[in-house]
Amino acid sequence: MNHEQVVQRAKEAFLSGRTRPVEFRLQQLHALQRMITEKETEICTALKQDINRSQYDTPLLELIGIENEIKLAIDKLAEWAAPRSVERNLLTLRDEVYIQPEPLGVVLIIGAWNYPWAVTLQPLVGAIAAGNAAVVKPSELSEYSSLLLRALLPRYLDKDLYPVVTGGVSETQELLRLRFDHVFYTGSSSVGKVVMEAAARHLTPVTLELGGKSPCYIDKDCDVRIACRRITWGKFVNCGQTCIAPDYILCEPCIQGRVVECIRQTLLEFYGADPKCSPDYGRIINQRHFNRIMGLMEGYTPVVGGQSDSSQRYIAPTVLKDVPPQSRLMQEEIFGPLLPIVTVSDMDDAINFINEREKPLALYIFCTDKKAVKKMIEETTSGGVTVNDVMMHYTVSSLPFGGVGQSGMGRYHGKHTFDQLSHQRACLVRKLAMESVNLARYPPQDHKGYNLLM
Amino acid sequence: QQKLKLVVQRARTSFQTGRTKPLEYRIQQLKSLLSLISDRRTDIADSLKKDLGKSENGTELFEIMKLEGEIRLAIEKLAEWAAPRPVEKNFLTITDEVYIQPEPLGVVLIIGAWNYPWAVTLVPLVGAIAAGNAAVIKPSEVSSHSAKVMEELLPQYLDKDMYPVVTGGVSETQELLKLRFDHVFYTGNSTVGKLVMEAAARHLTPVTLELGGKSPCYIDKNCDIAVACRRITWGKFVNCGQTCIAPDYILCEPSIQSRVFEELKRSIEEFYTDNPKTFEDYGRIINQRHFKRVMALMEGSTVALGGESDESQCYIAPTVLKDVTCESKVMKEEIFGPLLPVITVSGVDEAIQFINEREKPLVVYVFSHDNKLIKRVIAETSSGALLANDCLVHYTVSSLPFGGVGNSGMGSYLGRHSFDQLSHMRSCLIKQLKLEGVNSMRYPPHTPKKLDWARFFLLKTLNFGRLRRLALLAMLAGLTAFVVQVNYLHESR
Repeated sequence: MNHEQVVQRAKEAFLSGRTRPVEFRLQQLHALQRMITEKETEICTALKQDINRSQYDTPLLELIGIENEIKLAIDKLAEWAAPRSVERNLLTLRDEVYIQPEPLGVVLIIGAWNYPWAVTLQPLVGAIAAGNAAVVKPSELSEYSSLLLRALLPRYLDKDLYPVVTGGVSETQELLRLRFDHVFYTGSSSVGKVVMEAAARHLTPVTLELGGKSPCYIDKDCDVRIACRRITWGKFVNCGQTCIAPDYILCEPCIQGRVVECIRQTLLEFYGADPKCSPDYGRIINQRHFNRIMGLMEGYTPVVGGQSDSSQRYIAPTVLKDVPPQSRLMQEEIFGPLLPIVTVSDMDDAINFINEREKPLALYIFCTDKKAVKKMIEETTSGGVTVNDVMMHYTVSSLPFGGVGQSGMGRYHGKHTFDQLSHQRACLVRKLAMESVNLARYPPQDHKGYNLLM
Repeated sequence: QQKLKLVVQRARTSFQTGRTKPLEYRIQQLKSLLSLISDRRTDIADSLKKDLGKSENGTELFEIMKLEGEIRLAIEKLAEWAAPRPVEKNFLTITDEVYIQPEPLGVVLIIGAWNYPWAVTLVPLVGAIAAGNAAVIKPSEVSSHSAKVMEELLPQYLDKDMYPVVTGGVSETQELLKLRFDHVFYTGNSTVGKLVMEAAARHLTPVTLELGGKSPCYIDKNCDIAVACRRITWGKFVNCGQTCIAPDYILCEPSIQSRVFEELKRSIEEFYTDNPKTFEDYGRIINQRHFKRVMALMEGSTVALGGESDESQCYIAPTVLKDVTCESKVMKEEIFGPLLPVITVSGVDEAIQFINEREKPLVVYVFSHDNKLIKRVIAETSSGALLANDCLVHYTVSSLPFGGVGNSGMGSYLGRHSFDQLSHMRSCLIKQLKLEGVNSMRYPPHTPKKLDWARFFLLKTLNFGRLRRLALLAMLAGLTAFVVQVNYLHESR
């Protein structure tokens, strides 16, 4: 069956109305929950084959998060889907005034390869909860996960409503020519533009979870050891292939040496003397990205790491210092295990540096001075901010997760996914009585009548 | 072209100075906007009379009052809207600051429409100013007198570098859209809406599109038809039908059709006298092109009421059409004029089907005493908004988001929704450099035991709201035990 037919069938399944009752959506969410629980081993195996993810990192980084989202949705669905009363004005005191969340229709979810299960299934949870049908298109780069998802989802979920479509660039382009009621895309900014342009032709709203270079500022007066521990974790998890990984460090020259040492110590603690042998250290997704990342380092001598093995797509956890702002390393999102340190003269200098660049997905600030932290937050912008840690704002489902500017538009997690994939319909239910009140607005108009209206 | 670039660049430079950040500045600009409206009422009314034949009273009611209300609301609520918004914490963030900080986006492009030129151009501006943005305002050239007055007046009251007005036609708009903005707010038709979104896509600029469509109006046979028709007449013929949320066409059962015609006739005469052409409060079609367009729509249908026109004045009488089918010309596009087709359906089931066969409109109107029926229409159709037993007035309720869905648009505004739409909601998590032991769960080297702990704490966080004191204490004890154990292991290495 070709794509058009798959989408058509999803549309018809949606129009049958069976996603409307909350019970149906809950049942589907429970089934998804079962899939994650029952097939954890298979999923871990697929991820090991795709990206050499350790069997512990997979639940830690992907599955627990998905489970939490499903549980939250199941718990709160009735509340989220209910009519939401809003404030009435004088004119509507006796009316019913509320916002009714409604499904949009058929949502297209385009996944990415770095956390293939999380970035495909978390949006799917929201799509199901909101009462939509969804066409799921996992990334072909995480091939094993993609094939496994295609095999598993129809065994647990309604296969007409939530079909999985696999394939590469041309299949995705084909899909994007069709009409959807929302497109949810996770990936790079350049493809994000193409997705939005395609969606524009159908006036389809989009959520774009993109990327950028997330800066990480370390203040000289903070506890550098703990800061570096947290940064090291965030940077090298999944071998640096995380959209919200701290991309580069900004710090004053006087602490640069200390930063390098602390990172070195932490790496030893996490991955041992030879990370290549650590079961917890990942690999680069494919040869193309391996070459790309190696190319970024060209001409620079790292102070930590730098080793690589092309046959395994292995790149050691690598730190580079005194990196010039114009270097290749600083021109594109690294998305790999290279951690450049750029020196700045002080926090103001860091703020300027950040503001000269595109708005990133995340900003990290390590600093114990509350005032300084507030200032840095106020004088910059980014999708999200975590202070004194990295990435953790992702784990708080009450915080909307998304970018701004080149790092994306729209947001999700928790209720935000539900809202993003719903239409918030304004409803005003009046009565045919009290017609006299309306006289003020009818022609012929005279000056006395206005005040009655407003 | 170069000139446009400079104007936008200057707005951006002004934004970057940071002077829109303090709330005082924004309130001062909003107050100035209020002064503009009260000082120059006559100029504004004058421009609207020339553009659309609007009476002074009509102007007051539909353009100025809403705008004033929005400005006053923004001034009153700004501190509240712009403040950090705390959100629910989970177990692991219990000692942290967790909130959403609204922030300006940067430079917003506002493209206005010609039908309510002051309202649809300046109400979004209120939100842009309130949210701390700079804004480039591009009023519609079709309502040329209003555009000219806006170009003249705005710089006299507002910060002219921050909120420049750019006039011009299609080519100027296309040039503008090639430039980079941080948000584009467009009001107009779906065809141009697509072009706007495509242009915005090239810069990854988010958009708000307030578009149109054919807003259906279902009259249940068991309602008070006289009152229903009165309200529909008002909603339809205000501004000569040139309202995005006007009831486009009526659906009703054949048994009440003649009664509907009767009541519509009565209301039209009551409102506009038996010679609307000479009546001050009845408007005109914006220009010749639209006049011809609307006149052509009548082809193939029968005029039940009205039908008179005068091209020299762009005048079309309030007109009701019958013998209309889905194939009729008048059902092929949004009318945006004073033609009211009546289509017969066998009942609410057929009406719902009819509505669902078409693109999602801006509004669905339903007139009925039967609450169950109303709820059914809500449940079984979709539209930007739903209004039962009246027309247009949902626009006056600022707590309701105003916008479309599908072909009728994306995004919403009015009241706080304008502020939120033109802000970036930045997620903020402020942690401390303490309690490092807790983080051990996530660090390699990984062990099954650590993972079990992680599962325990992360999966339990959901029921935090319902945890009772004792359970919470048990959790904290567990966490302490974990930390102690980890430190012990760490030290003994």
